[in-house]
Amino acid sequence: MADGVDIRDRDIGRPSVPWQEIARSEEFRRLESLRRRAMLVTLGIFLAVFGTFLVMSGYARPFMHKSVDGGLTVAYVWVLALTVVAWVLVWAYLRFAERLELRAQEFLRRGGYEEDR
Amino acid sequence: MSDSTVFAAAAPARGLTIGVFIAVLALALGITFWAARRIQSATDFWSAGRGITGGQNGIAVAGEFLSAAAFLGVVGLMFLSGFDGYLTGIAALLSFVPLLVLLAERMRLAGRYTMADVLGLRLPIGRVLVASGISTMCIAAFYVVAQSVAAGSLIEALVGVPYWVGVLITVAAILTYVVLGGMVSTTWVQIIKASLLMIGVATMAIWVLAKFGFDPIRLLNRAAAQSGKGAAYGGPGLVFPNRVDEISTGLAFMLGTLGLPHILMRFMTVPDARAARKSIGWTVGLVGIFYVFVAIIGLGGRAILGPAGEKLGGKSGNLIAPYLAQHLGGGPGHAGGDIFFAAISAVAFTTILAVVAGLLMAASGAAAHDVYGTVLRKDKATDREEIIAGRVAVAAIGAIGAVLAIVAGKTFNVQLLVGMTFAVAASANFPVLLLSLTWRRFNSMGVVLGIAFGLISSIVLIILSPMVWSPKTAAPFPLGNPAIVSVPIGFLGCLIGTWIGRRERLGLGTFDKVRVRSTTGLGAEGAQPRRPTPGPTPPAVREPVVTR
Repeated sequence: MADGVDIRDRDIGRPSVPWQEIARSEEFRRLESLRRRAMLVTLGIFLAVFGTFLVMSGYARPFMHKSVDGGLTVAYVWVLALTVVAWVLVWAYLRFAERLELRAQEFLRRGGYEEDR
Repeated sequence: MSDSTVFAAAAPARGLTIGVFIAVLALALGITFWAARRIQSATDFWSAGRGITGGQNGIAVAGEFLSAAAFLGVVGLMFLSGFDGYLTGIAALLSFVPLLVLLAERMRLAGRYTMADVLGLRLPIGRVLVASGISTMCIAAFYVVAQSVAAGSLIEALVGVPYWVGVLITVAAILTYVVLGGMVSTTWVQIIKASLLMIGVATMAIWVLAKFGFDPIRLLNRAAAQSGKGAAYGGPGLVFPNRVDEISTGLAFMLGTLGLPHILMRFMTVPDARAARKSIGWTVGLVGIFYVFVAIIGLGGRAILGPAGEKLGGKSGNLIAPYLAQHLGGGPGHAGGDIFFAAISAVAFTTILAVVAGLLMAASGAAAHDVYGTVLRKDKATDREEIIAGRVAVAAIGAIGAVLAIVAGKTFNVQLLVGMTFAVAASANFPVLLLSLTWRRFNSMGVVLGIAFGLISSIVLIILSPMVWSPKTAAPFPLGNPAIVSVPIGFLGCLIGTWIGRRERLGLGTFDKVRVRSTTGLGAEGAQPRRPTPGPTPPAVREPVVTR
């Protein structure tokens, strides 16, 4: 809030870090594509289970109302499964991101890229 | 409507109820102020933020997220219509998956404090700030409406004053709290509130399950039998008879989180990307368990209170949770029932105070610093002037919210009202954030039109929806929640704006900076002190410029 200290990045394009050079390097592209792949896989699984769930909730209601055991319907089983899917996806992505971050740090160290402050 | 007040604590017991309510509220706020002061003495307010650990932040995000709507609203919806209530909750929980992979780390690595920082990282800042400031304030106002409806109903049931007085008391309390607690780290408010809420919800859920011999199937069977709606109660369709509306509401809850300013802000308070990610792990764990508990409470309300509960909870079902607590404790007139009723109401009320305070802080920051200080006064405003501007903005948003909450009335379920807020956030903020982090040619006109299209279309469609129109006249727009239409309109605005502003001189090299930063963390602000304010932004033309 109004603390009189600027909090925005005013130094766009400061020449001290070769952003473009890094962005064009092969290792960086590899890191980026690894991340993109992890992102797409996670989002893909996510959209598949959640998207199908939403569409089925709208357009396959008799199926969703089917009983699995007494009052426990397909809809409830699916919703509980979605909770577990969310936990697993987040856990898996956290593990992946941890490893990617180590690689990224190694890459920055090797290239000697550091922002001078 | 007095049907809920009739069933509230009987007159002699009302003193006890109010006493317990005030005691719990005072305790929660007392702990908050105490904790916040301890934190502040260590280091200053803003950098204290960057020292928040992933776990603490995770609980705080859960705190922001688990509003009165998530508790009172979902319980009420599940009580009234069964499964559809859970659908809104699960969609909101799942939003953390795209939030994690798309935004959380990038936000932390690219931005410093607000959403506008991320947008402004590579775009001329002026109009971007105005647009994002306006959308933040609109979202805050909508949110205040939803939470005030819940709080007004709670106060009405507890104290016995009319609903509109309850709303005014609530808004006054929130405004006082924001002004007094202006420098209080809202993180600690959220941590304490989230803990209280989890304890309250867990206690109730376990109590309900115990009544059914810890057999959830028995609970489900009984709830379905008591609903009088048979198998339909156990599946989708009762809240959203319109199929597209079901999907649209799910989308709003899923994408809305990715555009809610007070939630996004939370990822800037941690020291690094690792902590930002970890906090999502914590949040998803907590929120997932929370919704299971809430579902048990909602179904328990139906199974235990039966059709009689419909009178207690009102048309909206918002008050089912406290009345179920009263019943579990022994019923009205019994000390146990009144104390549990008051305690659960107090936890819900604390939740409302904390969530709205957090969001108003975000809105006042955007109004005071971004719009007033940087754009209107061109960085020449003094701290004092900015603080005054912030307070004026908060008061205005509070006043607008109060009026709308009184007009809207308590017949609205809070979770559905919050769904509208989520739709506005999903339409106005999510498209521009996503594109500014991923699309090289995205420019500031794209941001302005993206926000404008998303904001205006979502608000107009809400006004034209059956939620606002009386049930007797057919609403011009058939969906209760506009997300499925307004989010694509938001993206369309981004595309059109980017095309119109295609001659904007973009430092395309700065996009490389965003890319490198958000992948490697190079140059991201850590826990260091910040530099003093430099002058206005120089145009970003030092790197190769493309005008296409």
